[in-house]
Amino acid sequence: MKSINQLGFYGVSLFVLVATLGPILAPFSPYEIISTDAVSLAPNLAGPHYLGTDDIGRDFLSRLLYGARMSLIIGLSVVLISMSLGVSLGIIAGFYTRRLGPVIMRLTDILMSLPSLLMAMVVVALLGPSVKNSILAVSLVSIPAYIRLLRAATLEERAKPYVEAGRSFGLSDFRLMVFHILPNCLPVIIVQGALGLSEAILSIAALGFLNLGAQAPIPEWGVMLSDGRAYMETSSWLVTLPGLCILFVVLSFNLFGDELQEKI
Amino acid sequence: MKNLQSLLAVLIFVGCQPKSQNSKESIFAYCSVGSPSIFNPQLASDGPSFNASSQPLYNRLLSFKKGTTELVPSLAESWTVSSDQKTYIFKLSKGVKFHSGFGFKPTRELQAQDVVFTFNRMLKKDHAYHSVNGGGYEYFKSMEMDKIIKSVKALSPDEVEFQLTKPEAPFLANLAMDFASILSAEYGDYLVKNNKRERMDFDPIGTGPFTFKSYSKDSLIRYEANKNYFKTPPKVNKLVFAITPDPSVRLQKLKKQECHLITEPHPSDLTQIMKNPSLKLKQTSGMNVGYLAFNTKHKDLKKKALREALSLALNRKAYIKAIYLGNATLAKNPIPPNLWSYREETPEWEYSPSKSKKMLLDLGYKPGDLKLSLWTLPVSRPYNPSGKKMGEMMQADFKKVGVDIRLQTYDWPTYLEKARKGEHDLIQLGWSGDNGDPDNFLGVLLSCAGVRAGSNSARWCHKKFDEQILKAKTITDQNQRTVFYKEAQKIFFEEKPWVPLVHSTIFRGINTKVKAYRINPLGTEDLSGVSLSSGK
Amino acid sequence: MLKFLLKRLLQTLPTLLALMILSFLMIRILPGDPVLSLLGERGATPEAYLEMQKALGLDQSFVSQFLNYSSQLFRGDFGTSIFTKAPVVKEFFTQLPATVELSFLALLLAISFGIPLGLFSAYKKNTFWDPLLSGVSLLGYSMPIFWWALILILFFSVQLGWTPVSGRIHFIYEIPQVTGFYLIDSWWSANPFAAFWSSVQHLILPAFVLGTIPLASIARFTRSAMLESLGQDYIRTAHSKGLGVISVLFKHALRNASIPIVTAIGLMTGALLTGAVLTESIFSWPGLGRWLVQALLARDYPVIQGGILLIAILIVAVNIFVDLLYYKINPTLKSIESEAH
Repeated sequence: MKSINQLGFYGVSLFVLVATLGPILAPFSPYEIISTDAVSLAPNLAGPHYLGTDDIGRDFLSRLLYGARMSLIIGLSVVLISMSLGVSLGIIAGFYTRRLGPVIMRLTDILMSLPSLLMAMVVVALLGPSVKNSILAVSLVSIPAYIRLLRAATLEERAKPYVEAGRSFGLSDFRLMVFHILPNCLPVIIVQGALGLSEAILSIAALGFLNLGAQAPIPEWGVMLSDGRAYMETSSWLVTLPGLCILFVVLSFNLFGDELQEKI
Repeated sequence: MKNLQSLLAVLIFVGCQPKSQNSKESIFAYCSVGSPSIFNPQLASDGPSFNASSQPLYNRLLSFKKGTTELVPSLAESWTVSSDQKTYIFKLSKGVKFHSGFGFKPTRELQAQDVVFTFNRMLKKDHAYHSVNGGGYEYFKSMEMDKIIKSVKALSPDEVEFQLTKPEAPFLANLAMDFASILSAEYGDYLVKNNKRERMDFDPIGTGPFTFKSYSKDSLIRYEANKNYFKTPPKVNKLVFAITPDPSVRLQKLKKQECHLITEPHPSDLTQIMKNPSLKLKQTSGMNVGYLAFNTKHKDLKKKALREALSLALNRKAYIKAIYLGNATLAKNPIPPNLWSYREETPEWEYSPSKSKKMLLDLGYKPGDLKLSLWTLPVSRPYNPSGKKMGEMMQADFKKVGVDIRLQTYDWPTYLEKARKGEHDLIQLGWSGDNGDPDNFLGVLLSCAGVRAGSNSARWCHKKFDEQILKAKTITDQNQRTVFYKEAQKIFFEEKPWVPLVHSTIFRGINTKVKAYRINPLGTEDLSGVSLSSGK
Repeated sequence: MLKFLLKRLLQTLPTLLALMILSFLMIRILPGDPVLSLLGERGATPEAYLEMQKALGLDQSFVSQFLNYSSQLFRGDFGTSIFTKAPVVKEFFTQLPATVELSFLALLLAISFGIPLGLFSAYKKNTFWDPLLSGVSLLGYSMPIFWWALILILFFSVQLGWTPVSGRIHFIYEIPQVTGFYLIDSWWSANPFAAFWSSVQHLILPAFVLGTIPLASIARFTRSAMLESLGQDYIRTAHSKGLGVISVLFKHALRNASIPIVTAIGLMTGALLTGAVLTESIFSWPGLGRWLVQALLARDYPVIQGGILLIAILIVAVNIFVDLLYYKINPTLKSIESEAH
C-alpha cells in the first residue's frame, strides 16, 4: 500500500526530471528537419529516431522531451500567477467580509459563470493565440478556485482565538494575514497547487489542440496531437504518444495531490 | 469476456448497413469541407457556398463545358456580339422552369426579365434588393462588372441585351462564373409581397438540377432532384452534403460509405484510397498556384536583389515532397501551365543556399541581420494543404542562410484583412482560377488595381507589367492577348514579387459505385450528372 | 420553495448583468473585423466596406451600440448571426437539443456506472478492489478527452468499424423536427426503428467520451461520501442492530450520501459543457460547443455575445434546478437555508 501511495510522487519527480534534463536527453534538436526523406518514420528502438519522426521529418522523441519542458514551464507559470492572485484575493475576501469580500466574490462569480475552458477560449480569441496569452487565459480562469478555498479557510482561521489575540496586541491586518493566517492555510494551498498544475497542463493542451495555444514550431503536446490528427491512420504514433504524455503527467499530479491531501 | 465482446459486436452491427427507406431511391452523399455562408452565389465569395448554391441550384447564361474551361450555352441558347464589342444580345433557352418551394409556385418559365432582375440587383443601388443581406456583391465588383456593364435590357421575353462601357475580353467567361447565377424575378416579387425579402438568399429558388430541401448548419444540406430540369435531369433522387471539415474524418466516412465522394483527401491518405478496392482516386491538375509573396513596400524587401537572394534559399522540392507528398508540380510562373498563355520559356527558379548567402552578404546582410515575419496560411487549401508545416520548413530554410523568420498566423478573415493592409513581410497565399482567363490571375493578384483592392498581397505595382495586362483585357483575339501576358510573365520573373511555389493536383476520393463523375478544374463541384450503380 | 427560488434568481442577476457588459466590451476589442470576414477573400472595396459596416450597425458610437444591445436583450432579442442571418436565440435553440441529448446520455452513463463503482469501491475498502478502482477512476478523471476521443474513434470506428465516425445520424434518414432530440424524433420518420438505432449508434461513442470525466468524478465522490457516512454513528448502530450490509449500504448510507453526489452532478454541468466543446468538435456533433467555437473562429460577434450569455443563463438555470433537487432530497436543508446565505 505504501508504495502505491507514492506513485504520484514518483511520477511527478520523473516528469520534472525529464523536463529539466530534456535538452541533454534529446538526441536531436526539436526544430531541426533531419531530412525530407525521413518524413513520418515509425518508432524504431534501434535508433536513431527512437520514437520516429513527425510529418515534416523532425525527431519525435526530442519534440516530446522539449514538450515536457514546455508543459512544466507553462504549468508552473499558470500556477504561480493564479495562486498568488487567488490566494491574496481569497484571504482578503475572507478577512474583510463586509465590503471587499462580497465584491471579490461577485467578480469570482462572473469568472465562474462560464465553464473554464470556454472562458479561456474566449480570452485567447480576444488576445490572439500564443503561449503567453494561453498562460494568461488559463491563469485567469484558475483564480476562482483559490479564492473560494482561501476565503473559506480564512473565515475559519479568523474565528480562532489567536487572531483576536493578535488584534488586541495591535498587529496590523496585513501582518495578521501574511504572517498568521497565510501559514495556516499553506496545506490547502499546496494541495490546490498540485491539482491546479494538472488542470493547467490539461487546459493548455486543450487550447493547443483547438489551435488556440502555442504556435508553430513550438513543441507543445496539445499542438502536436492536433497536428498528428491528419496522420491518425497512417502514422498513429503521432497521436498516441503526445496523448499518453499528457495523460501521464496529469495523472501523476492528480495522484500526488491526493497523496498530499491524505498526509495533511 | 469473449462472449461479451461478440455480443456487443452483434448489437452494434445490427443496422450498421442502413437500408434505404425506399429501395428505388438513390441518395448521393458528398462530404464537403465547410458550411456555406449563404445560398445566393451573388453574395458569396467562398467555395463551400458556390458548391452548395450555384452548382446544384442555379444556372448561368453560359456555362463551362464539363471538366474544361470552354464556354458553352446554358440558359442562353445563343448570343451575338456587336462589332464594337460593346453590345451583347442573348437569346434565352426555352422551357426553363424555376423551382417551387417556401410557399412559392412559379407561374411562368424563365424570361428576359429574370436576367434583368438578377443583374440589376447587383448593378443598381436603387434596386429593391440591392442592399438586402449586406449587398456586397464582392465577386461582381472585383471582376469590375459594375464598371463594365452599362445596362441590361429585356428586348423581348426571350431576348436580353447587355450594353458595356468598353470592350472587355473576359466578359463572356465572367457570365459563366458562379456569381452570375440567374435568380427568379417572380420569386423576388413574391417575397416583397410577403415582406420577407431577406429570405431570398437563404431560401433559394433557382433553375438548377437540384431543388433545396433543408439545411442544418455545420452538418447537413439536403437536395432533391429537379424533375423539370431543362437539361438532362439528375440520375440520383436525392443529394446530401455532409459537412466534414476534417480530412481524415472525410476519408473514414468514405470508407464507411457515409459518403460517396470526398473533396481534398489528405495527401498522406492518397495511397490508402488507391489500395482500397471499393474506392477510387480521381485527380486532375488544378488550375491553381500557391505562392509566397514578398511585401514589396517593406524597406528591405523592396530591393529586387534581396527578393532574389531569398528566393534562392527555399528548397521548394522538399515542400512538394513533405507537404504535397509529391502531388504537385513546381511553379515558375504566376499562372498554371493548363491556362493558355503560360510562358514555357521562363527558366526554373533556382535553389542554392550558398548563392543566397553570398548575395545576402553582398547586399550587406550578415547572418542574423535580417529579421522578417512570415505568415502561414491558416486554412487548408488545395494549393497548400498545410501552411503551418510549410512555414516551419521555410523557417528552417531561411535559418540556413542566416535570415531569422518569425512565424505568424491569424484566423482566416483576420489574416486576409491584415494582409490587405500590408502588415506582413512574407506571406503564404494562393489562388484557384475561376473562369479560365489569365486576367483572373495576373489582373487580380498582381495589378496596381489589385494593390488598391487588397488582393495584390505583394503590394507590387509595376508600370510596365500593368500596361501589359490592361492592354490584354481590351482585345478579344487570344493570340494577341497571349503576347501581352507572356511579356507580363517575363517581367514577373525578373522582378520576383513572389516566389511561385506549386501548382497542385486536385484530388477526390470516390466510391466505385459512383459513375460519371468528373473533377471540375475550376474548383467548384458539379454533381448534376453523377449516378450510383446499384451493385455493391 | 417559491421564496427559495426567487432568492436564487435574484442572486444570479448581478452576475448576468456584469457578464452582459463584459461580453459586449470584450467582443468589441477582438482583433478580427466582422465586416471583412463577411466580405470574404476576393477583395473588399472601400464602398462595400462602409455599406456593410452600416448595415451591421458597427458604424455607430460605442455607447449607442451598447444601449441598442441592452434594450434588445431585455426584449429577448440576442442579435442576428452575421453569417446565417438567423436570430441567435433561434440558432441557440436549434443547437441546444443536440447538446442536451449528448450530455444527458453522457450523464446517464456517468451516473449509472459511476455510482455503483463508487459504492463497490467503498464497500470493498480493505481489499485490492478499492485501490484498483480508485486508480481507474483517477485515470478517467485525468483523461485528456480530446485524445481519448481520437483513440476511441481509431479503435472502434476505424479499426473495428463498429460505430460511425461522426455526425448525429446516417444521412439516409430524414428526421422531422419535432423536439430536436433525434432519439425521440426518429419515431416520426419513415423508418422509425432503423432511424432510432442509427441515432443511438451515432450517440454511443461521443456520449462515452463526454461521460468519462463525470463518470470518474462521480465514482470518486460517491466513494468518499460513502466512506464518510459509513463511519457515522447511526450506521454503526444500524449495523449493531443486525441489519444486513446491503440494506445498510442502500437504505441509510446511500441516502445520506446522496447530497454530495447530487452536488457533484450539479457541478458537472459546467464540465459537461466544457467537454462538449471538445467532444462536439471532434465528432462533428452539431451542438452548442461546436457552434460557439465556430463563431469564435469566424468572429461572428452577435453569436459570440449572445451565445456566451445564453450558455451562462443555461448554466444558472441548471444550477438552480440542482438546488431545488437538494431541497427535495433533504428537507433538513430548509432550516439551514437561511444560514447558508
